[in-house]
Amino acid sequence: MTDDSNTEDEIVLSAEYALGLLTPGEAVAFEDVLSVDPEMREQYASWAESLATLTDEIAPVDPPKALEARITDALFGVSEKRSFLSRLGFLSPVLGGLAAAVIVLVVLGQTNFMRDDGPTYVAEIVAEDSSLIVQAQFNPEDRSLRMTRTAGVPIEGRSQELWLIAGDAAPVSLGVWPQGQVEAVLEVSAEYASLMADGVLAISDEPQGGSPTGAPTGDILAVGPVTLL
Amino acid sequence: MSDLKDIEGYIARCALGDRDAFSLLYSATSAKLFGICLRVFGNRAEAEDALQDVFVKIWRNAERYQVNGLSPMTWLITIARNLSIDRLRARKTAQGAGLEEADDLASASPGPEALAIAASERGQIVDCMAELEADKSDAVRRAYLMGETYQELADRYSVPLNTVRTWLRRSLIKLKECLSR
Repeated sequence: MTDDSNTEDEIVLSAEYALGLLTPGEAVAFEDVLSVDPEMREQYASWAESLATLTDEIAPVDPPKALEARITDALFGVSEKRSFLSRLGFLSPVLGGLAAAVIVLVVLGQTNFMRDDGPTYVAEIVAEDSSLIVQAQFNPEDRSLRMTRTAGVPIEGRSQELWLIAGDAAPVSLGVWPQGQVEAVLEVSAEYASLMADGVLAISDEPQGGSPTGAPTGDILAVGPVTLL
Repeated sequence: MSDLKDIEGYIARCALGDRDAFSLLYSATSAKLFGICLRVFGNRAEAEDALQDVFVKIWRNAERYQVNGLSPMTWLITIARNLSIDRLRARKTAQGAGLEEADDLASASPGPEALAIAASERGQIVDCMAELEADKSDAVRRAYLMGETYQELADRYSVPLNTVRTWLRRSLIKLKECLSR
């Protein structure tokens, strides 16, 4: 009997929550239950599905044509690339590119990364205050991206993740910097390799093991444009 | 109209920052969601503002869709409905709980079964609502589609607050029994 009335309470509570009939205090308390009780979540989801079908009786109405542009302006009005880079206060790409070319030549010359065959792309991924500097060299032949960290250490218990930003596209992850290494070699997928030439590389601070979402979640630590050597 | 798999795919791609998918999702679902906003507000200006915020929210929360266990249209409808009703209530009164969180807190467990459940429940609720007395099903519909609170329902049916609460709760249990058959 107790079980039945418990179940009835659960049914009613989750329905009242889905309908928005609970007081704010009751709703918060219910959300606390939801966050730990999978059965209650199922109960709520089941009500949400049923109640949503009540909207079947509502006829669709085309919104005004201009609204989509208003929404995309609100969301993407500032180009994603710019807003992403502005989180760091990105240096002028031209200046950055020139500096990168010079510095990378020197550094990579010393470490014998240079190859004679085919084009090679380089980038210096550098923090605004130079607290993190990574030299990168990309060889399109074998799609290898060789990187050396010449300044900066990762925060204890955090990972650094490398991103490629091509044009206005959202950043794509190239990989997480191996723990405890100052040098890293990544193989870039064919799809991303073709984007490398005009891309920008960036490093973000992420939870250990890398971003859980597929997009940068932490601070952008350093950026650098890719240039042809 | 795109099917649910398409819509689920668009949401997944939105989660990865794919603007083309967002545009496809908008084309596929904006008329449905605008209809819901219009029903709640009863005027185009407010409904348009609400729809804008609904799609901003969809874009920003897309990555949370896969773990919330709702079928894709239910997730979208719930966002549109809750955001509209929260806004309507904020204008009307401080009464009633905020609903913004509801769509984020759904089940993590049903997964693909939720789609099957959704399909079997679709259509069923109309039959089950018909089994309730007319004013009871009307009250459930008003609470969901218009965001009416217990107090507003009590005023509407000229019954004490506790009475309306008791009979609506009984109706919800009856409804659930019917839906579970």
